[in-house]
Amino acid sequence: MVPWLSQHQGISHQEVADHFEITLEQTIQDLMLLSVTGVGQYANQQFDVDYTGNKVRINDPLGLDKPFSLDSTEAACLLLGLDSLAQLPVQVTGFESEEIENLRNRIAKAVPLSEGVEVLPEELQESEIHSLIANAIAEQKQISFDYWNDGRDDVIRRTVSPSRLYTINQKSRVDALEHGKGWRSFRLENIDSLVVEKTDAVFDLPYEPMKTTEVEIEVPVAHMHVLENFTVVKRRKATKTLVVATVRVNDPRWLSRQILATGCAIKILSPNEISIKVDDYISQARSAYPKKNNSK
Amino acid sequence: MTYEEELEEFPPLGDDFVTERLVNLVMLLTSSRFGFTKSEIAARVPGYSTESPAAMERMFERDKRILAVNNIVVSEPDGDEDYRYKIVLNTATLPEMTFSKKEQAILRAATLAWDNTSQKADAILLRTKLETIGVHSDYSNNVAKFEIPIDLETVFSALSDRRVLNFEYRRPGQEDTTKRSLEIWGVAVRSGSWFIYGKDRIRDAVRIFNLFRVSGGFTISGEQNSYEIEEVDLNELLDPSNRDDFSYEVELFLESGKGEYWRDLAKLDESNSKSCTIKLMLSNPSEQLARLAADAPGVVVKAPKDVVEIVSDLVWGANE
Repeated sequence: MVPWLSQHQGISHQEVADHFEITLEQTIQDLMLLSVTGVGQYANQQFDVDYTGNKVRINDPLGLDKPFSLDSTEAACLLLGLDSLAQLPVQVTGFESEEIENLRNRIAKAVPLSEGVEVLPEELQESEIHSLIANAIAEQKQISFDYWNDGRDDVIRRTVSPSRLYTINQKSRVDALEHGKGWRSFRLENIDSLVVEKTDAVFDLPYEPMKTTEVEIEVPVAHMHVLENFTVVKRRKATKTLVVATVRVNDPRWLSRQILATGCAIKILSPNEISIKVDDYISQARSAYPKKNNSK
Repeated sequence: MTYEEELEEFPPLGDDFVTERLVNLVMLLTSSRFGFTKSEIAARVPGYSTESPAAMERMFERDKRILAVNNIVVSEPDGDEDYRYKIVLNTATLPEMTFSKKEQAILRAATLAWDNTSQKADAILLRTKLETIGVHSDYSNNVAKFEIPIDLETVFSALSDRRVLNFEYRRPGQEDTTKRSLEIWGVAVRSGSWFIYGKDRIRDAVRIFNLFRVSGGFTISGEQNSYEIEEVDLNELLDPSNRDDFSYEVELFLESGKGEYWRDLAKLDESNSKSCTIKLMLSNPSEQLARLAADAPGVVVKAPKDVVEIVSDLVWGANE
């Protein structure tokens, strides 16, 4: 904090809080702590920091005007971030992998980066799809493709206006507006037969992430690991054997598939309409397998 | 070592007293080229002065280890009672570096990848440090992202210090966990999965673990640099056929327009999505059996009987 504040003299408390993404209260607390810290107990041996009047000014950083070297976590974060960028096509990042590699080598020589931390390359089969979508985004054209929704196990032809390409954990995605349905996020590995249309892209809805419903579910403690598959908003232990969790769901079909895959007694507590739909999907699945007397 | 002992060894840095003492210690040890003896340190750093000599000694040794994890190395004595400890500022701080505009954008993009993870706070500090040495970029195209629910700080610390990482691990398809003590050799990411690998001390063998199957967090034990990192072929280690030592041949009925995943595995003609029956080997049974249950009734297992029973149990166990 000290070197950064030294370079941002007169910055407001709120700007410090925003930069470090901490609360205003925590910011004031940290500044107070800083003002009583130093090499000795006398005033001239401590950081001379003035944070009155909603402005922060470091008058004497006690020689600490450069940041300490990267710790192991920061070094690993930088390394993995660079590795991940290097795996992406130039159309997505705007950077050639060679540029990233050269930079990484320069930094590795100057800063102790963690060994044994790497993103393993994959054989991306979708580079042509990447290029087509990137071109469509640049030229603001609509695209059509067959999309396999593995949450529902169906393939539907879609026509969308693509907005941005990115990857999460090396799974490339495109955010696009599907007309009449809203914003969607599509995994490139599930896209097939893609065509760039002559029609111009239309963005008649402001960008917003896919809508989700908060669903309250009850999970046996012994099966708590299934929550790894969900975005969990909150959870609490209801009894010694049960946990109640609020999870985000955008498709009841997907939720029913998660429950079927675990084969355990996950109950939906609310909302009722989701519970009814999920029960219906599970009944359909059961119709494929006759019930045994000794089934769980 | 118990969790309480671990906590004693590495107290959370959110503790203001610990942070203040550490900052004071760093400031003191960087302030003089000649360094300070233990008694001078005890007299000048308020956190130490209230403790007995033995407690101060323990606290000082622990603080040195915490600083070492953060790449701030306190010089080590050579047996001299009046050794003068110091931190050489030039080696502890980031070097002067200059970056082109493009390089600054690349560095910023690399830190943005962590915005949705529990490592976000580390990424902000990383960005701050880079900014302070001249990385100023308004690049905001969040093209590479990580999603990982586990706090990796302990993992990276163990790796960097070559200390043993302890955790409970749940094997695929099993509910019970087993205790693991890993000489961690590395962290790898592939296809959205995060892995740690190294030598499992309990089993005395090289093992790879999916981080999503670690239950209840990590602890670190043992001395620093207590083992050597050996070279391994990660691709071989990650090969699914090496991770599962059993396989099944199954017969599946695929309804029209359903079972895309299975059609793909069976290498069926992409244009043909009609109803059909296929035979294939399950390469990763623990995950594929769960998928078969989820894919019902569009995909139904016809044979062998024991697989039909496993999937049927999953389907009928669900929500019961």
